[in-house]
Amino acid sequence: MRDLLDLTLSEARRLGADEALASYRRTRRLRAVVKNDEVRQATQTVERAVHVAVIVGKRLATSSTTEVTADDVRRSVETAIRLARASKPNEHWSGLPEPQPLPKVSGLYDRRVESVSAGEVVEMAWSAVERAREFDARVSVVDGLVEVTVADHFLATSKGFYGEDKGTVVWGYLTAIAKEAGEVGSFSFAVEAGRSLDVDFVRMGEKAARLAVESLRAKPVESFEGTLVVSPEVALDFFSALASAYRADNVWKGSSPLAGKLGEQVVHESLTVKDSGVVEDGVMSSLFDAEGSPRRETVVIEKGVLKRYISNTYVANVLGIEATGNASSLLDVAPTNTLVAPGDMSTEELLEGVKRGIYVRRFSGDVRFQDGVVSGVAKQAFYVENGEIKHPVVGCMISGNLYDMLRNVSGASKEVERVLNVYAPTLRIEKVSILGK
Amino acid sequence: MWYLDVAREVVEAGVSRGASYVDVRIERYRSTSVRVSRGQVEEASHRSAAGSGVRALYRGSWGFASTEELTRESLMEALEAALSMARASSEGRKTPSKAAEFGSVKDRVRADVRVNPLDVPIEEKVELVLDADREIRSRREVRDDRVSYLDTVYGKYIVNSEGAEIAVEGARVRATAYVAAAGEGAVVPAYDAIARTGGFEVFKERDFVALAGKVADRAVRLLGARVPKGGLVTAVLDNDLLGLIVHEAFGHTAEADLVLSGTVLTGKVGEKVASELVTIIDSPGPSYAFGWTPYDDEGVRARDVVIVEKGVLKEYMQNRETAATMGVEPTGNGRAQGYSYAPLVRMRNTYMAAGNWDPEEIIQETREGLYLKKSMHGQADSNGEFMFAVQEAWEIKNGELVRPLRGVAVSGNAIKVLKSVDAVGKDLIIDSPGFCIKMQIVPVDGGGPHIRCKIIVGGRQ
Repeated sequence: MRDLLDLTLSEARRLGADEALASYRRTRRLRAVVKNDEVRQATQTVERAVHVAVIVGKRLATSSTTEVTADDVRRSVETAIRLARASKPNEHWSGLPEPQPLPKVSGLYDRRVESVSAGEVVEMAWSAVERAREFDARVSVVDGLVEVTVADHFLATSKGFYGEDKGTVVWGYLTAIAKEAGEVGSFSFAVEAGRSLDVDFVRMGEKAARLAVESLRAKPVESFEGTLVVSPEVALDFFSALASAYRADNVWKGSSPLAGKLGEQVVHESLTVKDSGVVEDGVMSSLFDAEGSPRRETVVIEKGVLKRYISNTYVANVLGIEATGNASSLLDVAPTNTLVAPGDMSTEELLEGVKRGIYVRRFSGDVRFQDGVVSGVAKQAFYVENGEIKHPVVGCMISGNLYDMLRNVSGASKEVERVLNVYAPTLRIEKVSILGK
Repeated sequence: MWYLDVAREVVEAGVSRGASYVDVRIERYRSTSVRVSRGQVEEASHRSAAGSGVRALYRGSWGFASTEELTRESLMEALEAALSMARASSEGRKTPSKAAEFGSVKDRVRADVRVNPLDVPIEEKVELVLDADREIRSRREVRDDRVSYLDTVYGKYIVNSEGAEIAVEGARVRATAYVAAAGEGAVVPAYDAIARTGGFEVFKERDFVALAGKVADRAVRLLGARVPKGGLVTAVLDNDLLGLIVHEAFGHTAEADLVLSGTVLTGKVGEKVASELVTIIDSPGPSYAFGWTPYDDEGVRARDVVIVEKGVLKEYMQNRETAATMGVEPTGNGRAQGYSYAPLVRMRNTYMAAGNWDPEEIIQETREGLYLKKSMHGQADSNGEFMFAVQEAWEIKNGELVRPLRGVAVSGNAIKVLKSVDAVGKDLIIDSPGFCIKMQIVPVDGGGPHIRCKIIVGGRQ
């Protein structure tokens, strides 16, 4: 593969590029699709693409192609050069990163995934469906899937970087619903993900079923201001929005309210948040990012204080900060795995401290990082009074501001759970508007 | 063309191996894009992709395999893989899948593209985006803007075991404007896009620069605005927001695969599910719509699906599999994101038909309520419970718009909201393009007139 990338780079230089980056990605994906209590379809997808980025006099252009013979790649480079020459210079462009040593990250590749058969993937999906069905007779599985992927990524730059990354991803989800005496509960959603075949799909089936059953016999509540307890699934929505706010591109360009706040306390002092592209088994972990910078761990918020933004080299050079291995392209920044530090209470203790509030395990809503507006519907939620779970609630909206909410955190659980790329505890937040009937 | 011969051969091989239905799709895409932010052209890009998806119904179950190697050998391998996928998924099946027949159609359809984007120099595309960026930045409160242009020229070819041979060739263009304005300690975002089936002539007909200016004005206007008071309110919805609600909250519950899983519309054909002022249609067109679909990705000629007529549920949107299960005809709603995906039941262009009201009159006749404009995004459960982010709200008092309010989420149950509709405007507009995500991403469009209804707003307590 190195030959093809070398050809791409030398072709780019020959045609006049000042700098160039070439990458090749190849994936093979097996998927079992669940619908109405059965695995109904299996699919195999094989994809590959060569991507080239060229810079000609600060003009950046890219070209990608799924046709990957040497001739196709030459044509693709010509296209990129032609586009660059017809474009305009970007005065902020300051060059590709210098090559740096890559980290050692374990648990990103499971050899067994290479040889897994469609039949085995179908069995994994059935194991989830069967567990959900036997958990409770009132449960039906609506849909879901199990997917296993083997991906190879090769990247080379005109600065002399060359990297190879081989990874596997195994993940799935299931949605379920419970019915009882004419009543249909709220949809439940469970997801499991990891980098090896050890992902527990039976657990996923059980979780979807339990959440579905627990939402039966839900009742509305009156509107009140009270305590909000959110599960790691809901915390994912909050911390994903927060991650957009500490992305250096959003800070630089003016979309983030965290601009100019390095060193300031921006959330409650009990919160520590890291971005880690090197966490073992992490779905967003890898050896290098889209510009060839090494992945690493970055402490973004420590005890409530904003320490760093996450960045690629392009934006880091503009802001005069360090790149953190978070390039999702030469121009774009993206979080990897988000690690929220655990608290010191059990979930039960968190709930015991609630005078009046709701405990939410799915949030169907919008969390806007720019102005912090949080607005949406609480699903799989319980009404809590004097430390006791009273009943499931229905039709209840949460309204507030993300940054206020994260300042009003009054506790976090000791247990941290991984939901896709976010590792978060259960969080307790005070003074939240809860809109009932 | 060589690949049609190969596709025929693969289909025949699949049938002779015992598959009851086989289809082969071969697709080719070419895209160019330009992005600008704060006066700088950040990137010009080109993307070229081609591949094939082979699908087989075998032993009562579906198998699918894709390849980007467009050779006879590779397509035959994909067939083998599809058959083994079907074999694997047939284990444990209690209710075998079937595929409804449609008939042997041979056709070639071209989208209405007057200026092929491939013939337009990249400089012109760069200028369009730079002009929009300049327009946005002429407002001093604007901090951030990201403006982009994207065109895609495609050809899709499908051959199946019913003898169909269909070619659909077309192009789509899309230009987006994102703005963040800042002031009074707040950052407020706004967003809008033009997206259509067609060529570069779209930007002669639709003024993207003016649209970008409007997006910037909206962000600036909302800087000092408060979040509205939450609760159940009387709301006038604009064409765009109604389009999203019709699609997201209602449309999905009328997709037959979800109907079979159990949605709020399951078993309700012939029943009243909305106010009698409400008629909802999912259409293959109009020809400019972003979700234009003359034939679906299962080789079925697409037709209008009148989901609701005067408040009564009439029919569901079907693909071959759901149509066979329900004993009806497929409607041309089997769509796939691309050659790497097997088709699912999807909407195309979904809208509410026009009524009798003057849109201004609806607001004038509203004593107290909110005028909700411009959707951002949304999601819904199959029981009709939905949530949408709205960009902008106006307080209505005694028939007048008195002040702008920050956008929030609206929620509710689609059936309840549609039953509460008491005014439908004459001003039907089908122009709410977007990408719909249901495991796969496909372009869709929709819209409707202005309407008035009752809806829950997630604002202050």
